[in-house]
Amino acid sequence: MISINHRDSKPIYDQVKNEFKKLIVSSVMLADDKLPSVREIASALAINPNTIQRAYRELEIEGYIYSLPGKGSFVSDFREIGNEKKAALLAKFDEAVSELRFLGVTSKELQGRIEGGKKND
Amino acid sequence: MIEVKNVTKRFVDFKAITSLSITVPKGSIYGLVGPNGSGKSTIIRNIMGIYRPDEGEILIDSEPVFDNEAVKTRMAYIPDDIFYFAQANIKDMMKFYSGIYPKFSMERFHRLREAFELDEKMPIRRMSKGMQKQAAFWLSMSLSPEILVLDEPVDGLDPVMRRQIWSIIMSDVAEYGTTVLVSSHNLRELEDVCDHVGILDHGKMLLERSLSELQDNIVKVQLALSDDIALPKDLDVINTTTSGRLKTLIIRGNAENITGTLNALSPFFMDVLPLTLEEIFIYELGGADYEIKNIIL
Amino acid sequence: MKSKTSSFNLTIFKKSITRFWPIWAAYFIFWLIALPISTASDLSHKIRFYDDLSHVLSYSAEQVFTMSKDLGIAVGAITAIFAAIALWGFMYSSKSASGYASLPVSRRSYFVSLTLAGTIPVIVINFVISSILFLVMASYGIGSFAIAMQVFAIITLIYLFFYFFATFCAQLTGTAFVLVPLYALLNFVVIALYVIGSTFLSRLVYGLTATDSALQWLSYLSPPVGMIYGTGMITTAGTNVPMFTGWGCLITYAVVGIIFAVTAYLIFRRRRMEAAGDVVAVNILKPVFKYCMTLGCAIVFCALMIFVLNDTTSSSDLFTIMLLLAIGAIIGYYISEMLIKKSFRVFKKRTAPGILISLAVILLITAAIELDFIGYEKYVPSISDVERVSLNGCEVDEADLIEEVIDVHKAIIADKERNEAANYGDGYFIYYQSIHYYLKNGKTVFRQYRIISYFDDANSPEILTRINEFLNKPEMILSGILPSFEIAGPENVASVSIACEIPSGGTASEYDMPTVDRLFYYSGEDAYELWNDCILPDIEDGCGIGKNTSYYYPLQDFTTTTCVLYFEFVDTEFVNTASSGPPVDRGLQTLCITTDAARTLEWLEAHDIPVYTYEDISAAYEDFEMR
Repeated sequence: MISINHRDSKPIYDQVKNEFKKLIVSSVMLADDKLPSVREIASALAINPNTIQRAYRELEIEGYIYSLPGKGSFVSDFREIGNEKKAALLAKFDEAVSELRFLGVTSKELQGRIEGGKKND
Repeated sequence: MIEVKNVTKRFVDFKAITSLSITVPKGSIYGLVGPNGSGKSTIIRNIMGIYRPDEGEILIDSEPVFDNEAVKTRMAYIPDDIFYFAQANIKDMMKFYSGIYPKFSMERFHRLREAFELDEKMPIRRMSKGMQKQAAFWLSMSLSPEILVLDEPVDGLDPVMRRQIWSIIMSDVAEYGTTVLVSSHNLRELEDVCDHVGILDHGKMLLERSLSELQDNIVKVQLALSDDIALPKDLDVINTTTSGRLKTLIIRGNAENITGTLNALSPFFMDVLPLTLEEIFIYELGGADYEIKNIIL
Repeated sequence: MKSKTSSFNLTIFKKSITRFWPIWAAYFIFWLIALPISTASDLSHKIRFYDDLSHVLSYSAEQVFTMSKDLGIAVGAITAIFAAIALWGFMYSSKSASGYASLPVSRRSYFVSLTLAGTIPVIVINFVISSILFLVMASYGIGSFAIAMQVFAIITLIYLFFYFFATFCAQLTGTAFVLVPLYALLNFVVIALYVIGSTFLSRLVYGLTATDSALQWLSYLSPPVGMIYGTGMITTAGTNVPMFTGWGCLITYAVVGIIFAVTAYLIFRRRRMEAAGDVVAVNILKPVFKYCMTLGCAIVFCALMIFVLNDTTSSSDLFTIMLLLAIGAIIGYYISEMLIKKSFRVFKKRTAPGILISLAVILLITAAIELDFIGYEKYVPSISDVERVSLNGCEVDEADLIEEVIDVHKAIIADKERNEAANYGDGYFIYYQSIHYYLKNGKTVFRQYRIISYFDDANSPEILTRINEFLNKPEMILSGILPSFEIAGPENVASVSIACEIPSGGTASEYDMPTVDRLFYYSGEDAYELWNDCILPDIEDGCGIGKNTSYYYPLQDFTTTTCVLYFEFVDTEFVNTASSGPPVDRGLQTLCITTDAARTLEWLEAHDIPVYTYEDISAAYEDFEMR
């Protein structure tokens, strides 16, 4: 279901988290879909189950999933997730903005684009 | 849980291990790293009750391990040099182990057969080293051990088999909470599988941490500041490399806090990057004046 | 809470037995051939020659017991070491030592299981062999449960000792290359050291001799020798079937074996598995090994060199001995260092104190011995302390005779330099003079001296003549030929047989003498008369009967002997109440009659017994030669 890049210097638990986030946010996994068990992933990818546990825990804290004792972990309702996505996109936005300003685009131009974009909706 | 408390081991006049302490929490996968001759195999043999420490003690689940049958029935050991009776094949060894270990599971043995494509009737003596290791794994996992001690386990195995074996081990860890102690001189490999690491050099422990502790408490930041701005003094910067205006800093501390602190300086460029285990070790030990190239392969 | 440790592991036990089946198979086949099969083939031949089955049984029993004992020791000792190497060999390689030690089997379990694995197959095989033997003998009509049981007991007890001993030896080392020589050596070391040591010491100390009694009990410390020495067969009065004796000996060895086994367990419990491959596995024994090697090599090298250099004097000079000891010690010391350290680089400054101290100690002791600090060489007991003394086997207890012997002894001591320097190559004959003092306080003093006589009488020590005269005194001769009991009357003289031997050996028929060479036989009154009225007085007169000239060869004279008398005496007062041994005490005496035994010759003539002298024969035959 997910894959890990061993050459990536990002910690494994981070990769696992992000992979699942991607799947959830892009609606490949829908609300109340069951996530694979820690054991299945550990076995399939040959990575430390404790690491996977940590990823699942953090996903739960961040609201992406919920777990039922004895049953497993499931995808949460997407409305909760919106905030994360927003924050991520805004960060990208900030990055893009700073680069554009570096290239000489003025705030006014940017504002115009935002307004314009809104108008196009 | 494995507790090694201040163990010293001498061979005639040579001190192989000095006041070594290791704690392997229950259900964790602990990687013991160190160059050849650092004492990894020695401490592992002490943990298995093969050698007896000259000083200190070794407890498994709070019981001393030496000459302790009850404790050792729950442990499986795969050494670098696999032990088998001269003419034995896998079937013979299986019969032997099933008589010795009360928890030997024939069911597991049969289930694991598919994972290893080995001929049970072939004398182990005639197998390649890699196949012998696979045989050892097959037999060991059938013991349903609570504690698995591996000395250079996947040394000599092809990538497919390595993955296969780790997969089986992980499955056990996830399902039964097996504790695993694995020694290696390859950090890159251990990075994926361990949640605790300890570095050994010349019989002494240089560093022992959980992986999360290590990863959460050290950051690599690429930073470009205007010339007049200085870095705050309370930042624990372990290493700085400069390339033109761009500084690459290795800073010890909480990632979020550090990011916040640095952001407040309004850098015109900042990027926070993760570190590999290898890099973490290099920088952690850099201050300790050791020849790191020897430790990390 | 520590869980209970088990004492036995069935899997280890079974695996150990089955793994080494060739040993048990070879053992079984060997005994099968040596006992039942050979007995069967033996009996099938012998059964025709005997009418009485009890004779067959007697013969068979003797064969069977001899085999059980002699082969039992050889086969038992050899099988034991093979079994020990097989069963305990796992300790000798790092791979297998780790493999075994990591298993959930306690040291106690291992020890019990391996010990049983090394003994039970043999006990079972022994039982089977004994049963087959019983059946074989039964099929020839001489089945004896007692014999079969004894055979079983003999070979089992012997094996148990050697296996337990081998187990003990196996704990001391970390490699089979050392175990085998160690086991072999320890089995014979006491005797070997005693023999070499006493040979060596006797070259330093004038008069020192190995005493038989010491050799006796020392041989028990070398089990193969002790077992042969302490066991045998005995025929009870009434039956003629020999039974095995020496159960005390074998059982003692088995018990000692158990002590070795217990000690082996105590050592194994604390064994360091990292000693795999080491020469000495127990740390405290390393210096013991080193200094034993040093001393042992010193003595052996010295003895060997003396042998090689073919020194035929009875003593060597101090300097030579010290030099040889020093060289031997250095060799032994550094070889042991090399073995312990497993390297050739042992000639370091660090090791210097050890070898220097050893050398100093060895050389000082040697010097002290040679220079006779304790006065051993010069010591002669005072007359009042001596109860009896024996010179060359002849014992005296009268004060004046004791005094003479002491004087002889003093003369020999005074002659020390000459006797020590006397070289066999130059001499004519070697005489060993032994003097045994039995003191009143119960102690004994033994001495033995080598004296060489020469072709040229003038150069020979006059002491030899003196000893010869002393020993041929009538009272000495009598004490030598009289049996231990009194000959009071005819009832004590069972018989006398007279052989007409011509002088210098040979019988009358060889030279076609006119009388048949039959034995003349007398008993009772006649025999007593010959003894009491002729022989004894003749001896008291100083004739040649009973004189022993072997103390000094040049004095031997064969021209005076005539015929030979064989006396048989009976002690009528003694009755043997023990269950074994002869029923009455007998004494036998052989006497050569000489031409100066006047009364005896008279008696013989009176009874028409032909007596030939040297003159008679050399006159009749030209080619008659003195042999």
